[in-house]
Amino acid sequence: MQAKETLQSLIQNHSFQLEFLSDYRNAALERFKSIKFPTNRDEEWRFLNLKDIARADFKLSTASNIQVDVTPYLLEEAIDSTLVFVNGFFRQDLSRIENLPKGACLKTFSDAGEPQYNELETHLGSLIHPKDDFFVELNSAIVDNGVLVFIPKETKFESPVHILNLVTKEAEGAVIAPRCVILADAFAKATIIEDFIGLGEFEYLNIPVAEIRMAEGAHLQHYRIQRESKKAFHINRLGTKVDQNADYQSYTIHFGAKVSRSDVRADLTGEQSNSILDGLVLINGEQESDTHTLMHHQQPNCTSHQLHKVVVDDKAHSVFNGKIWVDQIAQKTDSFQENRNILLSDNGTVDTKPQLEIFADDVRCSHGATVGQLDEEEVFYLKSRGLDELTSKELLIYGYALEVIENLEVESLKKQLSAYVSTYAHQVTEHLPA
Amino acid sequence: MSDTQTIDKMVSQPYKYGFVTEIEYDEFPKGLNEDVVREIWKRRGEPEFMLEFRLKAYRNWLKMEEPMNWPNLDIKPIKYDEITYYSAPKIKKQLNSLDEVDPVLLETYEKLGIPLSEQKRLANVAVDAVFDSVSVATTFREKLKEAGVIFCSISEALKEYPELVQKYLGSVVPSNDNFFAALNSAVFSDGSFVFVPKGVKCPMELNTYFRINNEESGQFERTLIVAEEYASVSYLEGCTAPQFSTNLLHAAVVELVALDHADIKYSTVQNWYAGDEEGNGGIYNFVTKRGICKGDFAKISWTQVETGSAITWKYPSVILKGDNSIGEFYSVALTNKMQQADTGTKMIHLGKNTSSTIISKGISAGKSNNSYRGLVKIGPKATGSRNYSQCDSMLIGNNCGAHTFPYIQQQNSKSSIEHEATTSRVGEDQIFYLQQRGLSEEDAISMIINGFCKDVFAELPMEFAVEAQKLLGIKLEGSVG
Repeated sequence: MQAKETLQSLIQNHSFQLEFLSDYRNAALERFKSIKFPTNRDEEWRFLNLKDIARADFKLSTASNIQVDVTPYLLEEAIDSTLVFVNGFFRQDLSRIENLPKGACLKTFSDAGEPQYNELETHLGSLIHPKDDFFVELNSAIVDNGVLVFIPKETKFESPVHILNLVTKEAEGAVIAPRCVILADAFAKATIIEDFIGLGEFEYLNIPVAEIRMAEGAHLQHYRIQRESKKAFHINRLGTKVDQNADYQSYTIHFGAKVSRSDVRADLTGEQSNSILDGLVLINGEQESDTHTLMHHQQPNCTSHQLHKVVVDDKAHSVFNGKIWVDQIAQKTDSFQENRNILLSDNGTVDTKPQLEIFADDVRCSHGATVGQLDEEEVFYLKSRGLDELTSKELLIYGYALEVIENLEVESLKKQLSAYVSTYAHQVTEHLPA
Repeated sequence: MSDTQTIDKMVSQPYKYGFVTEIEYDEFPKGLNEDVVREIWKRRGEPEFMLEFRLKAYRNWLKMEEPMNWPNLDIKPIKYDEITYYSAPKIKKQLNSLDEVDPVLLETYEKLGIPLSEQKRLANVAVDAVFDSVSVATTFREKLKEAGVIFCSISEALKEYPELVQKYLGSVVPSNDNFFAALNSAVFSDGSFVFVPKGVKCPMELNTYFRINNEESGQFERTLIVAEEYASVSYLEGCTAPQFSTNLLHAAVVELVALDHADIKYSTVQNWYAGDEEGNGGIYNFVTKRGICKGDFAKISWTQVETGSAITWKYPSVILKGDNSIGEFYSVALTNKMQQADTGTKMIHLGKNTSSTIISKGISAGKSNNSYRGLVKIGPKATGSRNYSQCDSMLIGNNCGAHTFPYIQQQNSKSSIEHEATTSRVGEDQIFYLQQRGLSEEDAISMIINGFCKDVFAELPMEFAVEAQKLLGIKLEGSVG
């Protein structure tokens, strides 16, 4: 990254739109000034190659009203609850919000009214523990819009919320800082999709931050789909607080970006709560993908489940660090984590570090991690049924990846993702030795 | 060899095991500088190359930073200036009978099932002629000599086989490897040297010898074991009996070298003083252990039972350089009271078709913290390699912690790594079942724990396996209920 000073002065001279966030931005900028760019010497950033980001020069994204065809990315289930951002700027003309349940809120920060300002001020930055995180502070220093979702007590969002973040060629070389605050009141229920799409092959840095607060008995399905440009950098962070009896299900899908990093944190702060943090990463070429998760059990009788699947081909490099943390009072915790990696090429690398930190004695926690190849016997079985070698392998990779996607409850999204998986499976098997 | 012959031989050779060693009474300055390193070298009468080795290590050490901010370890600062880096051989006070020994110690021996003769030796009671450990040791020595195995202290080896030592010393753990290895290389006191020549299968487990001849080798122990082509050796260090030391810091280095088809098995039973209930006193056991499978089809196997020390910090590792070589790591680490253990292994796969197995069992009780920290790395050229790791933790009581930090890195598409870890507790239903069969609660727990550790104990030499089982029971006394 260019001299931080240059970026700082860019930020200082930038005219932001949202006045009420200026204190928040300025405070973050002050903290940002004293933070060093992460290197491989920092344990949290040990394996990811950040050199390309370090070398690049970034500017701040500017608004433009270019025509964008969003139809290929729209989800029919979410047709009445879609918010579209282009290069980080909200596009009223492309978005559509209709038929919201009574009392619910699905607004951008810019459209939020006075009472919601207070709401935002309380919650922004409250769940991500941004201390010393370069990219979170950068996001906070330049945040100028975002999405606020509020699901009132005992209310259900019938249709999923689709937050579409598109990046076009106009934003080449820019930093984009999407922000999302989701508040689910007691026994509320919703499905929220954050979708990051790059339209073309060019470089930019996308650093989304999301915070989710779930009250007692709330249910949330949360999908984050990353299909950025293959030259882009995507570094995202998510913090979720899960209260008593609440159920949080997060699915993170990474297909795109040259370098992507995802930090997911779920705090189980109420008894009997449950959390799922599943992930799927399909990479090839020279892609780098890093997923860090923290499942923090802070109360007794909670359950959590995690399945993280990865396929690596060519010179791609995948990193996984999954932490399960069980506090001393979190007795009767039942936590399971599984990380499976398929490494298809000799130039690819897989680094994985499943981690257990247990301070309570009456718990059941386990994790498993494997790195391997397609099962020869499975390939043989398919061949014995008349498929050729490549088709068999393609089918196996497809099936392997689909295990994560199958759990999604939005059919049209599933269809889009399956199509991508199928293309990927075809691509990576093409050059395999038959 | 007939008895007469043995006796003759004994009589005719110079009496070298007694107390004729000249003892330096003069004061040795505290602290460390180049002069001290030179003085250590001079007093130990080592060959020229050792001075260079020690000085280089010392200079490296100066440049290194002491690792202070370790995750999960709470370490009080070590005052390196207050350590005396050269200790003249000490004579322990001889006791006349077991009656003079601390009854607590005797009770421990009793529970461990250590034979009477050995109890005396351990407590430093004068031993009667029949059980004279020296003569038994000599017989062993003869047997080893016949086979061509060199087994002696490293200072002896430096005098008698300087070329061998020079060739291998520091070849696996370079003197600039880490802070404590550098310190050890600069000032190491003594340790063992084992050399098994080509095609020789060591005629006895070296632990047998070791039990008889367990000398105090001081604070900075150095061990070097070399097995040539087709050679094999099994070595055990340590002892189940509690060991006390006045030194806070123990920084040992162990190096293993296995050539083609060689096989080295290294077992450790560690029961250093762990400090009191509040965590005062106790030993910092910072050990660098590493083996290299230099040749094809070589095999190195580490087995450890870690029950003592205030802080244990060790990662016995294997570099699998030769094709088809094998690395193994079996570990039981038990922590109680305020103990902290951070242990695990590194398996670095470089050769083709190499395989490694890691079985680690951690048991935490009291207010202790127990971490498994390991690395499995399969390099780009190590095709056809395999690793299987299993790290299980058991927690006893609600004030302790168990942690796993496995690093897994794979860089080719023809290898596979499997890692599994679980954390659990001793189940009430398990205890109930055993109690219902007539076992007391404590016995029941001891039995469950031993079942939990069975995979590791199976790798220990038999007599130690039995003692290690009992040791766990003793260590956990009073912590369950």
